[in-house]
Amino acid sequence: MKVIGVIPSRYGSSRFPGKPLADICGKPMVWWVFKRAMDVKRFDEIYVATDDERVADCCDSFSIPYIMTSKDHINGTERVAEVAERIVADVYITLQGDEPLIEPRNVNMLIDVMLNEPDVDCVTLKTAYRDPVDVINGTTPKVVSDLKGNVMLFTRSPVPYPKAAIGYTIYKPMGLYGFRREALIQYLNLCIGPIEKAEDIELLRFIENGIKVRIIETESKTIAVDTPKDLEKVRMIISRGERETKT
Amino acid sequence: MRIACVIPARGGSTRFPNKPLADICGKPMVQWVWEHCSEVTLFERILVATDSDEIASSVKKFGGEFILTPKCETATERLYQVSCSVEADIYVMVNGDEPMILGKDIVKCIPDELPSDGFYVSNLMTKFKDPVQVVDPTNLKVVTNKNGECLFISRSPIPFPKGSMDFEYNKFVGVAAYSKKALDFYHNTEKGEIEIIEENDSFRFIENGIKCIYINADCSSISVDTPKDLDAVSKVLGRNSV
Repeated sequence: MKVIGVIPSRYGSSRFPGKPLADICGKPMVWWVFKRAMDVKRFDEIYVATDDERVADCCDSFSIPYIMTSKDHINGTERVAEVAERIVADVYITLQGDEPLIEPRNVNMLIDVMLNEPDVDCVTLKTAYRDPVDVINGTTPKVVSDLKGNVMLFTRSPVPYPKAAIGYTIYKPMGLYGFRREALIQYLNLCIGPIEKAEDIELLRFIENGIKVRIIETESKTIAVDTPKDLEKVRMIISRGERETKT
Repeated sequence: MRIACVIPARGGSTRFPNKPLADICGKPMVQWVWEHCSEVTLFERILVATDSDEIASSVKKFGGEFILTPKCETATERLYQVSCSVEADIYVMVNGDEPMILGKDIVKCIPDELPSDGFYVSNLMTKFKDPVQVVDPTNLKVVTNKNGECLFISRSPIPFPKGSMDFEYNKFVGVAAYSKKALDFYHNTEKGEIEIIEENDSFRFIENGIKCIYINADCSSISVDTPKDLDAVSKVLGRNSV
């Protein structure tokens, strides 16, 4: 089974321009993501998928393979789907360009599902919310799944609502996805439904079109870099890690 | 297709004892529901299913048919109990606390024919018109996929409008249709984790990956959960009957 890792990487958002090139201990963030992706050791190939010359130039200078993709994609999954159209593999794993603290164990969980369960078209991970503020925060997504481990809904509202019981966990969906090639290519042709539009959560495209998304629970300490403050946290963690490997 | 209509009406709601007998403009609530069900010509029988003698005698008084069922944990379980002694292809459940749903809306949950596997579950919903109702956790919000299959039902307002405001919230309406096979499945299957938390019967199916069609009935519905709801319903029904 050929497995490709794809790092979708735009130049940045209005909140954080140039994000993939932000410096972490002397190297750009995208370099760290690529390096950690290499540590997974199960990818046949790894590509950065971008729509921006500056990101492409940066990849060139560090000999990171990249693919120039359309500027019209509205989310990372569309960008990864374009990669799937152009480069043939069995399975594609999306690694977020703004999450440099990739945990190989979690990536391996996704690859194992794709290896062992041929019926699964798309797989992702969830982790328990620990901080109540994160649950109420309308920017953080939540996920609920059925008894077979398939996603019922991704939403930014706190679900489930504790009417009759309170002993449960609220889950956060993670930004790691595994796709089979046919599913990814199909993604580009699926209609964007009202719930995806409202929530702005990319895997809802499958859910609203009746395609199952498998989800597995895991532990994670990854940090998505959305703000310069997040970047500072990531810098500290990486520089600590680097010091430990040197000594 | 033989279609039976069942109105589950339990006596012992802790928050609102004897709710089905609550007076609305001179008639008990359950009678309003029964009269609206009687507008439907497709029903072979209309039965009020209750565990309360008091409710049973009230039904008898207004000329309806009742069936006594044991204490049941949920309305769908009560429907299952009825299905064990009353034969039909489809059982339509009209909750005893939905006095505003009319016959022309109730029929919308009935399929043209039974699917070949004999398994059918549907439920009605309608668009919320009043923002206050969306926020009220006693009202259930429904989201479906593009085929109308239910994805999730919550007392939380779902979906969350981050990327677009171009969305209408769907409100759960207490009218459902089940085939006998679906009721058997319901009865023989344990409650899932989310059903336990949110307390909605549809989860017995959707948590097990079984499709549950939600149909937009485009109707006015106020399900009576509290005395404040009763006031609102009395105003509307009182106005209509003048």
